[in-house]
Amino acid sequence: MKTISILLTVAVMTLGRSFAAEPVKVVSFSTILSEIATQVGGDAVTVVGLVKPDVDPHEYEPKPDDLKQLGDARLVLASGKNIEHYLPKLQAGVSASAVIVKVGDQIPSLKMTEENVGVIEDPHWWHSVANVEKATKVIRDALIQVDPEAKATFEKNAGAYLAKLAALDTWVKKKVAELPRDRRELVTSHDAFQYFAKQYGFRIYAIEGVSTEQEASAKQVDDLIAVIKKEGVKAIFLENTLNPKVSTEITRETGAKIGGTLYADGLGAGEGSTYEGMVKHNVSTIVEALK
Amino acid sequence: MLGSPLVRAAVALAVLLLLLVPLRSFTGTRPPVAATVVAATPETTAHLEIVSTKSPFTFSVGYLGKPIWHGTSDGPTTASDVKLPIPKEGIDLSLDVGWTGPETSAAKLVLSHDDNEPTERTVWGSGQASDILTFP
Repeated sequence: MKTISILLTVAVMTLGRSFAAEPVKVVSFSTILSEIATQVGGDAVTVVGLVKPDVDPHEYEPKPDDLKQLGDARLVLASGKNIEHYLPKLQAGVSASAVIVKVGDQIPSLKMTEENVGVIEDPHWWHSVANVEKATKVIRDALIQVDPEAKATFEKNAGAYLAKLAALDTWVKKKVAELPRDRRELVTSHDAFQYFAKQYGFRIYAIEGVSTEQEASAKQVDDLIAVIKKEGVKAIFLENTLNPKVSTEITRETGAKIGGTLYADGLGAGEGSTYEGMVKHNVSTIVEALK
Repeated sequence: MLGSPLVRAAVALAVLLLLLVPLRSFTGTRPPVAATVVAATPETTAHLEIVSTKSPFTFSVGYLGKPIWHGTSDGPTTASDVKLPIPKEGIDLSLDVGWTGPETSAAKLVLSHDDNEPTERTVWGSGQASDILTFP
């Protein structure tokens, strides 16, 4: 009798463990969030990124296959701040038990005025390392909510990733300090670097607005050319997901050089395939071109 | 006379040639413009002072990634004058401080220049501390 009871206990524990060990399926609408979820979740999660590297999230449109992926997700991560305009339509396809987290909505917003649109929230919060630290904590807590059994794993992994982010932030501060504050003027293809600018003391002049869907008017381009000439801005930066035509024309009009290509809307190929790589690439490119 | 095919052909040719001028200005490649050179911020004499909760201590103050003042202080306070360009946007200085012993200590860097009010920034650490400090 005692043997049977021990065997039953072992069987129940094994079954319980195998159920608990089933990885949590996380579906993400951001390359940055996919990386954080992978780092914090470790072996306890399976992460499916719907927005792929080098894809412009402003222009991303979900496909039928994406809806299938959402159907059995236990955690859905969105960047928030209205960048995923399609999210309300997709919510019907998400399991009722799934947790949906708009990560960026839990991070303080910078407000911006967009021509013909009005005041909006800047959605590019990931260009501040401090914001990604906040996002890591949000995702850690969401994973614990979905799978409390793996709490210790999530906390340990989040701690390790947060330590990496703290070291990255120190690196950024040191690198940016190589550039005098009166030369921290950043001309980019679209207005994606305001959080970076606020944290590290840059002024931003963008050709397009916050969203890449709205093209710059002739007047905006003329005004920008005037500012670049007046301020003596040395370099203009391209973006990995945008057409460089207008930027290239502006360099001809102003004498500023092309400073390099930045990862603006998320991870991409090459150096920007990880968050740390993306930040180091962007900051090194900016600092070296403006020195 | 004006109806002559020869005259009409000449007029048409002249009109086409005139159209080429604006067309070229729209599509032609123009030589690049030279970049505007904005005058650099002139240097001024800046007075730096470090006040530490513990002495002796080693220190290094850096600007644009290079050390501008470093040494060891046997007392809690040390000071020096340095030449620095300080634009209206402010200046970032790095401060690295080292103490003997593992207990938590702090060091304050005070910057005074021209007629501005002195501004100060503090770093904390156990054994050593390092940070980039922004002075307005």
